[in-house]
Amino acid sequence: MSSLIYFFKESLIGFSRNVSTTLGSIVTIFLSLLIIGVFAIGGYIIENIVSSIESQVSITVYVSDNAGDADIQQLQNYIQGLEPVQSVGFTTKEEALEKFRSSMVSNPEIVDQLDGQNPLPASIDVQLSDPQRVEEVAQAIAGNSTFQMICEDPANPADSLKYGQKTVEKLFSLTNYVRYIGIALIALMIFIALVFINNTIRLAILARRKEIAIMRLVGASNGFIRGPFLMEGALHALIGALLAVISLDLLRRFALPLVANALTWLPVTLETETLFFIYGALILAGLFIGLVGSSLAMRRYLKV
Amino acid sequence: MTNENYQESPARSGSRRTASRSGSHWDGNQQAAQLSESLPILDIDDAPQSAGTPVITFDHVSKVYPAQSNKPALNNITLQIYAGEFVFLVGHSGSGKSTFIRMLIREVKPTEGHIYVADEDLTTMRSWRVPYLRRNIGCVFQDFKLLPNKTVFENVAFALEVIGKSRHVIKTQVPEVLRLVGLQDKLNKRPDQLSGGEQQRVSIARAIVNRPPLLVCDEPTGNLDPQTSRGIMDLLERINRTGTTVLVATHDREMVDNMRRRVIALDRGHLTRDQDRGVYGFDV
Repeated sequence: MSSLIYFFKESLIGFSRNVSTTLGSIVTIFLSLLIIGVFAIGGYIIENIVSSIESQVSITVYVSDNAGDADIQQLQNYIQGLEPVQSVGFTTKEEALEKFRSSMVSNPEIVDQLDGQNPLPASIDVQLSDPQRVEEVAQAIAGNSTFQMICEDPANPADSLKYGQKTVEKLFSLTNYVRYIGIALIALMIFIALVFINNTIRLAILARRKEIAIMRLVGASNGFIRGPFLMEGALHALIGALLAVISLDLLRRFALPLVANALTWLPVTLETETLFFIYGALILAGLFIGLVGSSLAMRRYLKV
Repeated sequence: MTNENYQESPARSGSRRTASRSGSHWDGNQQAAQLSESLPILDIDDAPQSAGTPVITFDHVSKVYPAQSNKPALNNITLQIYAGEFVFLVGHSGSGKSTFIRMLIREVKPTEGHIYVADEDLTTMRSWRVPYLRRNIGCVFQDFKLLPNKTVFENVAFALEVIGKSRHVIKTQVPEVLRLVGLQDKLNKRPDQLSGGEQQRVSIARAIVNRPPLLVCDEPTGNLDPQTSRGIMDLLERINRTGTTVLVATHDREMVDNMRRRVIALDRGHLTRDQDRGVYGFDV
């Protein structure tokens, strides 16, 4: 315990001895962790969006306001009979309006401006067991004669069918790109951070050459000689990690709502637990980088 | 600082105090003072000579540095040094004295042969045990190796701090050992405010503050004038009287000839002479 306090004191002395390199390594760790964090959180959000859209790989069949219940029922039965279909549901005009209202949380006034009218059509919602076969099912529905009769826009029946396959594919390729770029950037940043910590600790070791020689002479254990440097590396990393977490949280608080507002059609969601998990992981990663960086430096410059 | 100082009471009592603790448990000023009253000062002649257990054993030790593979730094050295001895290691520069000492604290390993310190074979010793070996060997060097930004007290305390001694131990042992070397009035001076002889005393204090059974000095008087050197040797002798085995590498002819202790002579890596109550013996 007392030696931990000693390590701490010594590493603080090390800070003041090499202010510029210390700041350098803290800033690189901070930046690399910040970038890692942005990619982690961004990736998570995109993943969320994709999976929510993927779960929406469903076909919506808009039905004319004048359609009779029997016809609707018949069409539903027909769709239910198709092989890749998992379930079929029905959304009334009122439910559609309600859904619309809840998706417009950012400006609910829009709904109020409708003056009691409801422009939204009722719809049959088709969930597929296999999202890949959405095209096939859509064509089958389009060819159905009941559908052609009761669809919302009889002049152009295909327009009454909505499905989001193309969006999903685009998003998938986008997330893949983001992931590759992210991994490359993260690897680069970790490398740079390691180099910086390595260098800072090397300078700290050189500055304390004499003390180290004497410590060796009087029989300080290897752990005791290494302790202050490990502590110093870990402290740099921890400070950098804390700065990164603070900045990330500021970004989340102030920048994320702006993004969410700009992309209202996408469900930008981030649970608190995930956030804490990412923050914790960042701090651990920083600690890891710090310890590895200073161990590397000691391996090369501090023979005990 | 000259000779006369040690004859005065504080330093003298310090020596007695140290004498008293050899073989007895010792944990505080009061107890030490009591003991020092009851125990006689050991005279040189009472000091155990070649008695019993060897502290250091060199068994056919050779050392070849890779840079000079055709000229071994030490060549087939076999000798024993016993507990309580005061031994001079003499020889010209390059005769292997420093290699001898560096092998004792296992800074270098012998190329051939075995070295035993207190029955432990240094050649097979695991590296994590080396610090514990060094805690039992005090080291003094020609260049003092003091930390310039620490005071005398802090320099000596540093040796205890880094082996994890408690603050209480540090507070009692450091002033004690500084009194023993006659620097009780200079606790708060920095090394650059001290004379060469005083700096060497600090370095000796640091070497013995943990009470090692073995004190090794590499040219402790190499940087000092004859009179100051005499004072340092007196101090080493007093430390030896407390039961500490002392090994001094030197090429200070006058010192060796005056003190008439065991002399081990090295010449270009060979052990050329090992005599009790010997002289320096080399032509300069």
